[in-house]
Amino acid sequence: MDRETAAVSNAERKALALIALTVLLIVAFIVYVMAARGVFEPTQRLVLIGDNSEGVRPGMDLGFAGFPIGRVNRVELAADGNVRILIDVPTKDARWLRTSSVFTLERSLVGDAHLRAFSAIADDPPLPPDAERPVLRGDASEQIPQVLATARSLLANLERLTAEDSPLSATLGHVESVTGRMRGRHGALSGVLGSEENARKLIIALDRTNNLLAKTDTRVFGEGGMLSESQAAVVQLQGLLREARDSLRQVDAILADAQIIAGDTRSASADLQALRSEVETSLRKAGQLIDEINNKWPFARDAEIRLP
Amino acid sequence: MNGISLPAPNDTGAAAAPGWLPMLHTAMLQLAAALSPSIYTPDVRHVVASGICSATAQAAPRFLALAGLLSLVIVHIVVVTAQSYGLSQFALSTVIRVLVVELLPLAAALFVSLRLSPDAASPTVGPHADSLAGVVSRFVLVILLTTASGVIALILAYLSVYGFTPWGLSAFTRTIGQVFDPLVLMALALKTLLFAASVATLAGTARLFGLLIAVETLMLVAEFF
Repeated sequence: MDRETAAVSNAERKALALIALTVLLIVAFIVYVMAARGVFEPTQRLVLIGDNSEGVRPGMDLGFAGFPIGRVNRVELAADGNVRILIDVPTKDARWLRTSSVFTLERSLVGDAHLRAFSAIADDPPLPPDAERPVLRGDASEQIPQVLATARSLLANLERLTAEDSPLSATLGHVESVTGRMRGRHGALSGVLGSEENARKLIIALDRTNNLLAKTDTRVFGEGGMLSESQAAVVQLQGLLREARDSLRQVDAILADAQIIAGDTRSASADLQALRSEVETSLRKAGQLIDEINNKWPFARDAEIRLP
Repeated sequence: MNGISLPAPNDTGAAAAPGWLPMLHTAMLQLAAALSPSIYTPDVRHVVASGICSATAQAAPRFLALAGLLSLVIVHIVVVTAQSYGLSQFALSTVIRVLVVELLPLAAALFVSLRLSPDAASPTVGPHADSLAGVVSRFVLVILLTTASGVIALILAYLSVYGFTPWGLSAFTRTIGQVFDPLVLMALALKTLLFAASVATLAGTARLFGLLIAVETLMLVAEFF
């Protein structure tokens, strides 16, 4: 009987211990979950205002440099049609948020949306509680229709480019023919000039030009060539110019003498004027004398004019 | 027993295949009796305590070992697959949601219902006390196994993802906080209680599995819709 009583008391204690352990685990888990959800942590409120709350759900994190520093508490639609995202930021993490912080909501093709904070200027004052800030949206999926439209036009252009009668195809055909000619004996020259014959003519012309240049070199720059003779001529010309300069200097002196002679001549001209008047006076007197003689006999003539 | 009579296992209305309503009625009576403090006389308390201890000793080690192994395998598969697709940030929350919230409560309920049928209780005091001991022990055991296996799965998930280091505890705690929002927590608690009540009262009947699936479906609907 004592053994049975001992077994009973042990069984009851074990059963109570099991139940207590179970309750303890449950309570501990609930407390852990509450702590994980930030129930026991002092927080400050941050309100992000955007135009679309798609992808935002209560419980999602607000990230800063890859670390979660806040949690979305509620998402509500304001009276003006904007979306208000209410975020609880633990007080110990609020120091990362500044008045100049920028908040973004990014949605990718796979996975959740991400709320991120960027604080570029660390010296700015801290973000006050209940601050309202705009949230910038970067949505990859929103760009899909534009990307598809662009891709469609791009494909159409590509199709047009690669069509059989397209300019690109014709150009490629021409390139093929040119490169085909380039494979010939004269290489790229045949491709550029159009045929082997033209390339051959050009090469002959080049050879003749080379010969001509060699001869020109001999005639012009060689011993007794045109250039050396020209140099001698230039030397002679310099001598001639020097002589001409001397001649001119002599002419200049002669001209000075002539100028002096001209001055003398001018004074002589003034005496001639008086002499001329005297000569004219004498001639006038001689004329009057001749007229008087003609009026005298036997030199008198009938000066009457008879009309027919 | 102070006016509360505990129905015997074979006291249902129809002998061969009772309908849903009589069966649920009997289950409710059994639960009401189990929750009545006045029914626990020293003899009955001894039988119930013995039933809890023997059931725990019988089922808990095996189930916890199996649950640990299953958790390890599933965690490894999910983590490796998620890493290969570049989605490792979702691996931990997926593992916790699948294992702790969905799989382990159902596995604990099925294991207890299969291992501890009503015939397993040894008649020492009488059929009523045996029946009560079976009901209470299965009820307690489902909750105990669900809780303990959940804790083991969480520990294994942490070790698989972060290894033997305390520096992942902050991120792990935050993931736990994200997975177990109030709705999920309430759904998990309600589901475990309903599983425990179903297994406690309907163990050994074919309709238990239908009821378990109905509860699971109901909770999934409540959780995701």
